Amino acid sequence: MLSTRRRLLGFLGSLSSIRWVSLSVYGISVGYFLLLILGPATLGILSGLGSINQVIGDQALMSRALSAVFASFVLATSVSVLDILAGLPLAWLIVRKKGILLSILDALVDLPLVIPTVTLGFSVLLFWSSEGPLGFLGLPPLAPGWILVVLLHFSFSYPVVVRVLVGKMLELNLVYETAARTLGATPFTAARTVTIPLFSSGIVASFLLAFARSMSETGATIMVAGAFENGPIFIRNALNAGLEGPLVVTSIALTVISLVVFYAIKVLEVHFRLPFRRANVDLEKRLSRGLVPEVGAIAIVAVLLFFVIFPALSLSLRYAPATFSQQISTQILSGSGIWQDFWSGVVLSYSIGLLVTGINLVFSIPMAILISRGRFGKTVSTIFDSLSSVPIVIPSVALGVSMVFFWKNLAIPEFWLIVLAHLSITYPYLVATLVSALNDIPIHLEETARTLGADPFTTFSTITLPLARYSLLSGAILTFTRSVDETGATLAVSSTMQTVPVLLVNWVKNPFPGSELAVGIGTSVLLLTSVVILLVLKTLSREKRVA
Amino acid sequence: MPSIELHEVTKRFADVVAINNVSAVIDDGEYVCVLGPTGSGKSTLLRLISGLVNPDGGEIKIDGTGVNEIPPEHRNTALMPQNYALFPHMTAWENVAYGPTSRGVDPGEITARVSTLLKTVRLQDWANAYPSQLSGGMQQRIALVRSLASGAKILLLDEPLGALDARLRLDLRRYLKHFAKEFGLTVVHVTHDQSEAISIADRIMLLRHGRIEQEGTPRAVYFTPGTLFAASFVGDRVLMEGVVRAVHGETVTVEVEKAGEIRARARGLREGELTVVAVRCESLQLAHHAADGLNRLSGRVAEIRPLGSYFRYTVELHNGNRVYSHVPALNALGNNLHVGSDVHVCFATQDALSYKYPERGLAKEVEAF
Repeated sequence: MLSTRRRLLGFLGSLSSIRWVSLSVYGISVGYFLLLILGPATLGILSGLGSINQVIGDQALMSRALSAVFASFVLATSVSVLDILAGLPLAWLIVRKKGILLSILDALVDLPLVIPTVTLGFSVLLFWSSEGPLGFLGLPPLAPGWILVVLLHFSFSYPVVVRVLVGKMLELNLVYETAARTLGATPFTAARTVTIPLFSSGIVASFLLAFARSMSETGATIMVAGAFENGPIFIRNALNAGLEGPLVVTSIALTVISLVVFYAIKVLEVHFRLPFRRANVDLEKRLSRGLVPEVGAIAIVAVLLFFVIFPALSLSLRYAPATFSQQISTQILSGSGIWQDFWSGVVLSYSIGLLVTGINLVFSIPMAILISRGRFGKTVSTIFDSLSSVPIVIPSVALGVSMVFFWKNLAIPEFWLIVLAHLSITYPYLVATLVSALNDIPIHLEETARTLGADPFTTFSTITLPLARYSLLSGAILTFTRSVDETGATLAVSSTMQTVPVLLVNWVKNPFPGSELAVGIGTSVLLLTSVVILLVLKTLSREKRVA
Repeated sequence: MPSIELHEVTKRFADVVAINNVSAVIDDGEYVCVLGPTGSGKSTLLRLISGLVNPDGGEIKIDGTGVNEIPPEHRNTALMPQNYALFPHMTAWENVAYGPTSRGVDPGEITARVSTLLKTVRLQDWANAYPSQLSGGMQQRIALVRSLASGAKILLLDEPLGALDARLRLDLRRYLKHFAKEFGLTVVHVTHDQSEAISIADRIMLLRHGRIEQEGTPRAVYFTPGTLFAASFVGDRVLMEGVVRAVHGETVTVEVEKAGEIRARARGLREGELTVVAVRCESLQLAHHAADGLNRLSGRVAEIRPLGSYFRYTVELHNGNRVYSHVPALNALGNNLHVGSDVHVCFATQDALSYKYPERGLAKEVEAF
């Protein structure tokens, strides 16, 4: 068994030394990206270019489109900034201060990621209603509108930011921070002057992911938007009114804005220096002393709990007790009635999630190497780096429509259509995390391995992969959870198959007696299963930590 | 059979020519030091030989076979970068075993090879330590045997002693040479430290702006540098500007402004030309009374610094220029010179080398600060 594996690796290795083989590996990954990821996500939209006259000719529609795009931009920017500000301290706590409580927090952070977006919207709405803590305190509930949208976006983008930051921080050498401390820097100053600048690439990567996620999210936003209209909501409202023009115009506008922001930030990253002005060291000294760090830590944890975890879980928490009633739990476990659909949905969702993660891992790794190592020059790297983020900045509802249009003539089985849609949506997460991880691995380690006789494949599997494995895991978790909770595009491409999120949407849309309870329970079960999977993954990856 | 051959090799990075039409032959078992200032193309040379970058022009041969198209892992040239590049996620043992494992060597053979090598560098007790737990010297030795364990017969060392403390550096110089000869290795050792190159190398290649400025035995490069740059880079030398007053075959008479005339060796200089005379500091003798047959300049002792085996005297000449004389410690202790003493600086004609004055100015030419 072992020797078979060795022989296989040896075979792959000797193949990788051959120039045309490695070229074709890159070629295939580029082709995969263009044909299966970027093409379907964009061409469907571009083919509708003719319909933009609907918008341009209509003054009222045009000004609605403009203000919706502007709202999207402001929303995404402010949410991402909030994410980073609140995410840095939490990531630092999780990585530097070990302990059972923080391990639990670390696991909790991922929860909102596995909740289907529609139920997440529902849950956030519930949390801030009169039945939540606001009502308990005698305060008026939050009505659907921009405040709730901000809170919602914070709750689903914050976990993405923390996940990426934690992955990056684990790979960061503690020695620099210690050196700063011995040179007289307080913990706060050391973090600001040494740790944070050292992983500015992680900050940028997570900012962009959060930004993109906020720009494109549709399913959950609808639940809490009220009269507020950002890009995706505008598209949805227009589609409901039978107009396709707004989809094309808004999608293109949002994509262009995002690409400009991405590019600007990548350029700025090089010149990015904290502090922008002279920092107040005395203030930082005071901040590092006495109870302040503890109070700060508690505040950060409170933010996590009250703005992310509780809102995301309120639906499950509310209905979870009912799960334990004899009758219902028998029903759920035996899979009778509606629960039969539910369990087949679970199987479908997780199969698709695993498949999508696996396929994207295989094809995005060569792409990430191509980008980060500049295999075909800097310009090519920059182009692919920007293009690879396109699928997550397109509003998910528009992406779904584009997909259907692209594939509809090819009679693709529905299952594979869903897989293709998920591949497009998750691909950017994986590439972004991998690129930023690869950028942090000193290239001379790989080069030395080569001169010691390791072929490209062996070098990758023995040096690059082990050194990047935390980021790889973060990327895989993001991909998997994103696929399991994807709603907007899946709704657009599926007709008979029901993944769990689609099923839950249908339950919400077509209420039946006890449907709210069923949604709550369904979400809880999905959560529990995902948490178990995530915990297993994490334990496996932490087993062999290097001293 | 020659081990490494470079034929008119050129490498450009964007607009910068890192290696400019270099041809060289490095023999089997030879220890060559590539010496040069920062940015002279030394590291690029190693990367070209190891196959990490490919030349834009010319050909590289190893053991007589062209290797331009051969990837690094099939060249058998182990590169040891400046910071050793030990793999941080592997123990010392795993690091050393990396090469043979990658090459698919039989596991029993790997175990034998690694343990033997770890014993040769006396690190067998540290086999399970991670690089971060090892001292700089230990890391260097692990990196060295790791290169060897891969089966490479050509060792490419990029500033191998650069990160070590002075004492260790001197010890390891001797060790490196001994190590290379014991295992019959061909070594290309890149350094910017001329004393390191002189003490280790069988042959020195002085590199500048991507070209070979001079090559030869350490003795040749040290005693008869071919160019003004070589003279200033190898060995401690005093440089004096002057005008050629007379040419007598292989020697010239040079007038140093306000300090007198001196005789120096030169080729191709004409009367009336500006020149720079270079003299090694240890060839400058200090005396109360000038001896016959030697060049002589007068001045006053400005500073005396004991530097171990020799003393460094700073003498201010009457023209205001400063020259430095290295006097063996034993002589210095009995010569009765103090700061302020009037003194003659004497040197033999054959120790003074006269070069054409560089077009772009002296400071720029010798890359002084």
